[in-house]
Amino acid sequence: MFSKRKSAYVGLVIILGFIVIALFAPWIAPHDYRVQDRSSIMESPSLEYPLGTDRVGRCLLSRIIYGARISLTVGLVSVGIGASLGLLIGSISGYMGGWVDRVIMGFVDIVWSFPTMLLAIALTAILQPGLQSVIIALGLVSWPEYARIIRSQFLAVKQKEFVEAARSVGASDFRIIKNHLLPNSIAPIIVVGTLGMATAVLVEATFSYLGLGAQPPEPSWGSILSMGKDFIYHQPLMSIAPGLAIMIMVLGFNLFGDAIRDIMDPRLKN
Amino acid sequence: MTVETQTPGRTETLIRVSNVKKWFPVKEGFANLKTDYLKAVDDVSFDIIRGETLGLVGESGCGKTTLGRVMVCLEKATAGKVLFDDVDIFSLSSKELRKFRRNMQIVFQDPYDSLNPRMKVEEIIAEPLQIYGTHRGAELKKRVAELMNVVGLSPVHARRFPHEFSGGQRQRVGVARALALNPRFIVCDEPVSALDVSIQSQTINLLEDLQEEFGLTYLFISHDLSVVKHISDRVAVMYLGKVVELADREELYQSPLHPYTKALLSAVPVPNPRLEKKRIILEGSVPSPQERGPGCCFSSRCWLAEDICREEEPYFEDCGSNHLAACHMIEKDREAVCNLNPDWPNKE
Repeated sequence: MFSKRKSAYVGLVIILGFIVIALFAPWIAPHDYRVQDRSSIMESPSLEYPLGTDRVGRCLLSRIIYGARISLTVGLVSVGIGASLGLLIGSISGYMGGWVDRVIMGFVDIVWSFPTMLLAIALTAILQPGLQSVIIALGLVSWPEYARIIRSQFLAVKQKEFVEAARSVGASDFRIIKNHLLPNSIAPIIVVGTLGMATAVLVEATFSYLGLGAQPPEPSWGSILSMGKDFIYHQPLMSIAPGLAIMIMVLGFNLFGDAIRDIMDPRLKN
Repeated sequence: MTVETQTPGRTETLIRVSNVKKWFPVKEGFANLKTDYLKAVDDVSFDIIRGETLGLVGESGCGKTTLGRVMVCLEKATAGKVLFDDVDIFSLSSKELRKFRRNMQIVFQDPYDSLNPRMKVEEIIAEPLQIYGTHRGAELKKRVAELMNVVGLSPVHARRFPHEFSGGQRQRVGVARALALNPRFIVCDEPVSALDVSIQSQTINLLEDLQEEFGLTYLFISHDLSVVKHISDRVAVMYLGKVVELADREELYQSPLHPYTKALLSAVPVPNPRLEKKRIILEGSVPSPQERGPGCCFSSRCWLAEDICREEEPYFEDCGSNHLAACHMIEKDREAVCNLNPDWPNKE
């Protein structure tokens, strides 16, 4: 138990660390991420450029620091969109039951049977490449999972006697959903949402790597990685650094998922 | 606290249940084309008198819980009427019903399932008061503390979560919630069957005290015959969705008329090892409520059953001194009305 808690705190520290870096990027970063120093192109690490420079002479460390902003924004906003949509649709489906439930779940199955990547690529093609497109695509693709979870939770919690008790003291449908069903259904959503952020960070990096996400000069870790692959023998840091950043952030979100689940359960409180 | 106290001795009807049915559709066969009905409650009629405790006994699955839930409109009846103080509660609109619910409350069987684990005890007890907007702010807090005192809980523990309480204490929270709106009628759905025996008697005494204090009327559902004997004024016996017998407590326990009641009473253990008991062992098991044929619901297991029992359904009628029973064989069996258990144990 203790070691599990400890690893969860590690996750929390990582996430908080990235948030601090993202918020204070202008003060932490040694250079502007856009400024191209034509006199020092493809340089090795030095005091001036701790991680060296890229093909057009931009400070690699500064770009990675600013890149945290992009990854966190994409993670938070896309999960926010997906979870809100899923919560709304899943709640209706689970609470109403009957034919409403069957229709909604049929639709969920259709959306879910689409390959995520393909749908997202199609959406970015329609909406034109860019971060907004990645965020919207991720939100539209991920809601069925949340809807399914919240629906199955509702179906289970609806059977509980305390819901009947609420009904027998005259509670409205809205009150029953808000006070009784949602608080007892939300824990898995939080956990899945945190893990979803890890996925979103990865997907954003993938899209930017493919050139469908962040457009230059935006410093997405995926696009830095993409540029680095051409120089992997001369300048391995250009691939390793953004790769490590992605890995650590994903790890942080995964560990953090556990922490949140523990906090959300009053029975585990002392 | 404002409580309507009932004048004692007034024997007027508070609730009249007439021909209530609750059939659950069961889809069967190829592509669910055939719809069968599970008759959980089948044509039940009786009255509940103001201020009394009507015990409702029967084995698991006989429909007693369903009947209780139908009577407080947690389940929609398939047919029939329930008049609560001359108000037909099944015909109320959903808005009217929500207003009317404050008159009738229910205490649930499982104290671990009936309290929201994410709400503090004070929030649970306050919820009905907030819904009806009867108390606000400091007054609400005061009322919650008052209710906790009434059910024997210390208001100091108001900010605790249900899991921090024992089963008996949780059941008291459930009772406090049911009492919050000063209801007139409470369905107690096996309120003690999930509790330890020592806690059972405490809870029963609490319910009795509250009844006296607030002039409550109870429908007390249980499968425990001795608990029902202790708390009830009158007792109804259910079998397979039907009320087969209803009488004053003493009358029912001393001289049961329906063969099922006799069999049921003979199965109660008597704490006397030397006593030779005439125990009636029923053959077979309870038929599924889906497969019941015509005639008396008990005919397939009754040792007195004759042809008429399998063909014609007996009326639920008064057999003298408000002792109602549904059996064709009562007249024939008059002389055999046996006092099976003169040493009936008293569970105090």
